[in-house]
This record gives sequence, structure tokens and C-alpha cells, in this order.
Amino acid sequence: MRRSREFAVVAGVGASLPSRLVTNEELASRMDTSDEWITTRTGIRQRFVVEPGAATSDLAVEAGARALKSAGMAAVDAVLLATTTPDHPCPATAPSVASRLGLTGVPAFDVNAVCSGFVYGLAVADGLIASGAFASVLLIGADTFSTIVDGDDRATVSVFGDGAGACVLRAGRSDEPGAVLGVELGSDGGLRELIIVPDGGSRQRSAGDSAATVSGKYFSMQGKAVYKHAVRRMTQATLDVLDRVGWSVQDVDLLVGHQANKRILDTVVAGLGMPADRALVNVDRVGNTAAASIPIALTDGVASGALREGRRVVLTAFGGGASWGAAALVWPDIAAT
Amino acid sequence: MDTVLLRITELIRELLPEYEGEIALSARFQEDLGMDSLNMVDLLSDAETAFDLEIPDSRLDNLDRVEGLVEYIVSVLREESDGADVRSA
Repeated sequence: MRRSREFAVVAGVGASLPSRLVTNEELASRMDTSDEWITTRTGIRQRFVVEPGAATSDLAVEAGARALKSAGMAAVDAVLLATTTPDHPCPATAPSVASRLGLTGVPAFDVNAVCSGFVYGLAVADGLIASGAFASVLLIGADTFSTIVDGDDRATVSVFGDGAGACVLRAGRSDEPGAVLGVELGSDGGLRELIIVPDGGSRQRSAGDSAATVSGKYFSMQGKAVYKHAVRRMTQATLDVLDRVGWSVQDVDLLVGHQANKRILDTVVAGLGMPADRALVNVDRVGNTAAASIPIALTDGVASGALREGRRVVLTAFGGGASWGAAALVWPDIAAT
Repeated sequence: MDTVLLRITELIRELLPEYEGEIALSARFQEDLGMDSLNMVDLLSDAETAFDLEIPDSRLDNLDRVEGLVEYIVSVLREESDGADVRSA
């Protein structure tokens, strides 16, 4: 009889936030905004940003080390880093992270799906494990959006924070707690300009320095359109993954959405017909940390007790590209370190 | 037009349960009804569902009064029914 495929099973989680705390009050003291303005629109009260000279890999290494410790493992077969803010445009940052974790020699590469990066990375890790190529993968989501936002743009400065979160996945059975039971992914390149850093890539560089603009090096976001598409895609991706794994909306104990903005999370949960308390929310504490947001939320959820063994969890995200995705799993008995 | 206005008024009241004032055609979403930019997106999304039509993203930034939204929806519905007449002719 043919053996059923291996499933990726969550074995450990960990997170790392930079030390510099930026409160809404601090932002209000240096630009035209207020705690009330930011909190009403985003639900965000504070965020953390890296010190000058620090890089995405510094956070990724720390989060990765914590996830390995949580899993009780010293090594894995591959390292994946979901990020939009690599240390350098070239090469990928994952090999550097792997080496600093003492994992020189293992395959390591970056995945870029902006704020959907962790869910995309989870699908890749699941596929690598299902194929039998690897028995364990360290998946890290890490971003330092403070390095790409315009410091004078209140709409993005107030929303984004830096951070890293990580998850160790090992080969296992589908009936084990922690097994990733299903993943849904999608994209729409027609929406690429909703979330974009226009300059610095081949489109502008092939045209020369004269094609660069003052604002083009910064991250920009069409907030209202992003909100609309994020709500729709995160809701639909959730319904699609529930259909794939045979769960109803009522079966879900906790929805861990990309922590972009509390309003998006509230609207998605309401649209799904779930009670508001089914959404795990930590955007108030860390802001939108892009690819790091879901694994940081998972780590926070373990620490707070919101995520406990046996709870049925759906992850869902929307990000630049546009890209989106969702995943379903039953939470395992693990401790955050 | 009246039925569209009635439905839009219902959608606004669902979105703003604490708002008890009048909702006139001339009402401005932000200044008079106290809606913010994301309430607007929710309203347009709800209207898309209610009237089974699509409001382009470009419209998100240039509707400031109830009247503008009602007129836009009426015009789209009229175009659709004209198109249906042409196809059936």
C-alpha cells in the first residue's frame, strides 16, 4: 500500500522585536498626527523599529534561534526567509541567516510575497516536506519596513513596525496536532501598484538615474483600495481553505490574520460571521510587521494562552503583488521561548 | 432613484448604528455623517453587493456626498438595463 504523504507539522515558534519603541505620542510630537487619529483608523498604539545600522537578518537570526529552541532542535534541513526588506538587493538574506544560526551548508532562500510572505513560505515549506526532500524546515518571516517608508509620511510611518517571527516545521502525520492541513494561495498582478516601492528595481534602473524620483525609493500604499481588496481576499481565502479541509466557519477557534490594521481584522471576522473574539489581535502592540506579522502573532498567542493544543486555527493574509493566502491547522502543544 | 437612496440609507445605518440623525441626499459622508475613509470603503463594498455591481477603485477617492453615490449607482443600473435591451433586441 502506498504510504500517505508527509505533512508539515509545526514544532516550534519564536519572535524577535527590535528594542526601540515608538509610541503614537512620539509620532504626534514630530508630525501632524495624533494618538486618536492613528488608533481610530488602525488600532495601533505602538511599534518597534531597528536602530541605525541594524538589518532584517539581525531580527531573523534571533527569531530563528528562538523557534529552534522552542522546537528542541539544533538543526534543520532548510531555511526559508519571507521578506520584502532583505539586507541587500542581492544576494538573498536567508543564507546569511542560516550561517549565523550555525546551519552553513543547508539550502536557504528568500520568498517575497510582501505581507503574504509567511503564508507563501508555509506553502513552500509544506511542499518541500511533502515531497520527501526535507524532514525539517525553519521558516522565518522578517521585515524592517522602517527602512523603506518615508519618515515624513504619517500614513505609513504610523502603521509599520519592524520585527521577525519564525516557525520550525517537521515531517509528520496529518492527524498530529500541528499538521498544516491545507493551504490556499492567490495573486493579481493587475493590482501591483496598490503596494509598491517604485524605484530601485530593473524597471527604473534600466532607464538610468534620471528616471528615479525623490519619492520613488519609498514604500507607498493606496490605503483605501488595499483595505477593500484585503478584506475580500482574506475572507475568501479563509472560506476556500475551510472548504479544502472540510471545516465550517463555526469550527474555527482562532483566526490569525495578517496584522495590517485592526479594522481589516474586525471586518473580515464580521464578514465570516464569527464572534469578534475569534480574531487574534496584536497589531496594537507591534504595528504591521509585514511578513513577520503572523509568526509574531502566533508566538504572542502561545505566550498568552490564546493558542493551545487542539485549537483549530486559520491563518490568512493579503499583501503586495497583490498576493493572498490562507492555511488551516490544529495547534500543537508547544512553548514559546 | 428613491429605491436606491432608501437602500443606501439602510446600508449607512447598518454601518453607523450610533448615528441617529437624518441622512439627506446632500449629506457629506465625512463632515455630516462622521464617516472615515474606511467606513466609505465598507459602504461602497456593501453597495456593490446590494446592487450586484462593481465600483472601480478610482471612485473610492471622489465620492463625498450621498447624492454622488446614489447617482453613480443609478447610472450604472441604467447602463446595464439599456445594454440588456440592446442585447435582447
